[in-house]
Amino acid sequence: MSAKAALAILRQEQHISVSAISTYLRCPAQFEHRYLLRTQPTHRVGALAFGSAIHTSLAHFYRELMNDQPELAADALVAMFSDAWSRELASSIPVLFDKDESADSVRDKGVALVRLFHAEAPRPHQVIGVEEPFSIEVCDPTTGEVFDERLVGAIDAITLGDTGMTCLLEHKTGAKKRSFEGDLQGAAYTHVAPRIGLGENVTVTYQLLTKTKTPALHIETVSFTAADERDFLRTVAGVLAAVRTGAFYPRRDWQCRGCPYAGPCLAG
Amino acid sequence: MNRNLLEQPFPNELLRTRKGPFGQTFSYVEGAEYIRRLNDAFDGNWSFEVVEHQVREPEVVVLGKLIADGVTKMAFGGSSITVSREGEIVSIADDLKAAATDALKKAASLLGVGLHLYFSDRSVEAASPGNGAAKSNGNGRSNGNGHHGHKAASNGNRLTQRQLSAIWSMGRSLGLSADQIRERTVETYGAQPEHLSKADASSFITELGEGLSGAAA
Repeated sequence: MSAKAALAILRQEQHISVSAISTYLRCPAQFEHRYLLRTQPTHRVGALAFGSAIHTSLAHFYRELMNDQPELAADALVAMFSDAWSRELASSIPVLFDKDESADSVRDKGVALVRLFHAEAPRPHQVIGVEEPFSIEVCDPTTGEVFDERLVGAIDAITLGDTGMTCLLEHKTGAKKRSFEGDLQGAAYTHVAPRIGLGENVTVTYQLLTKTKTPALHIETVSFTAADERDFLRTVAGVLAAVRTGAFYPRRDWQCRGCPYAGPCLAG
Repeated sequence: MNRNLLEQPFPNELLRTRKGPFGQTFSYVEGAEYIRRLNDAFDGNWSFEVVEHQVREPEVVVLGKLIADGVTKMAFGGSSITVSREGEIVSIADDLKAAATDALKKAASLLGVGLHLYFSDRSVEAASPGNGAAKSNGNGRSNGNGHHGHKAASNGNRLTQRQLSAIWSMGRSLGLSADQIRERTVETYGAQPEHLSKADASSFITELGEGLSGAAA
């Protein structure tokens, strides 16, 4: 069974994901449309489709390493990205670009970024997992109540350093550099790691590709603490409690402009 | 037509529950039990045909026709399209199979099979003791149990998080990848590690422990 198929099955049961929690924190109304009402989105945000294509190509890169295959050449990685980008564009839901972007300009940026990644990304000592799915029980850190929803997700890549240290790799794309200190996803995955047999001592390394004029790869390694994990669980508890009470208010800000659910949301 | 047999409520031990979004519970009986009931009632002389199917994202819909003892019943069935995180469709064929089972169950209910699941609260309470929030939709549609042929242990019998952690930890210590661990539990127990029963998890942990002992020796 492929990791993709395994994840799809794990997602069939009642669950919550870091992405869903982040969506709620960003805009409860968007959460309601996306996860509960399953409103058909009018479009896909260009940046998300782009990130997905980058993820697909980098996953392939690390999978070859995991399977002890020769490392993908830069041209092969570029071809992998181009294919993935074409598939994103062929999706039945149209991709919406920023006013200064087009499918071709974004493809060019992507090609430059994967070439940069190939040239600069440090090679791991050993890759032991790629897009590895997980489903774990989560509980309220205050009351000990086990939630009905399991935490389900997939870790981009899991690597071992030459000292045997486990590192969770997360690939990110963005318009500019940012810090991942206190990142919800990193805290979540640090909580997940010992529960999927990866031990207590893990670090999370973010490989951020920025679509700046000069493309750049920023690498940041973060060690999340027990307090970060607890904060993550408190956030899960808070979001689930809010969802159960039906708190789906809209948060109006500049992001509404590109929101795929803006139509029905603004119509009330 | 043996209506007494057709309309006989399914015994409680055949009832499964699945969780709906955020706290709701639904009761259902697996498709195989409907087939068994139809076989018993009509001595195997019945037929079911998918008359029409449509893939209408985000779900697939089929129109099914059940013929038994000269009586025809038609019903729609549906299933959510299973997609990966990247939004890629996993298997339309499997989703159509789930939808066809849903249609068969609904059509059979028109002959009285499992009808109590659609209307009766009594059986639901019996299936979900102490859960006043339980609802019955009779079909268990889009459930995670049995979908794509993977059986999940019912909640009370499901492995503990400690067992699950032990499986991952021991499996990795044996040098198995996560994919290999999944393959082994699916092959041996018909379920992913997260869906094993306590007993199956215990058995698998013992097996992994023996492997580790052997490796150490």
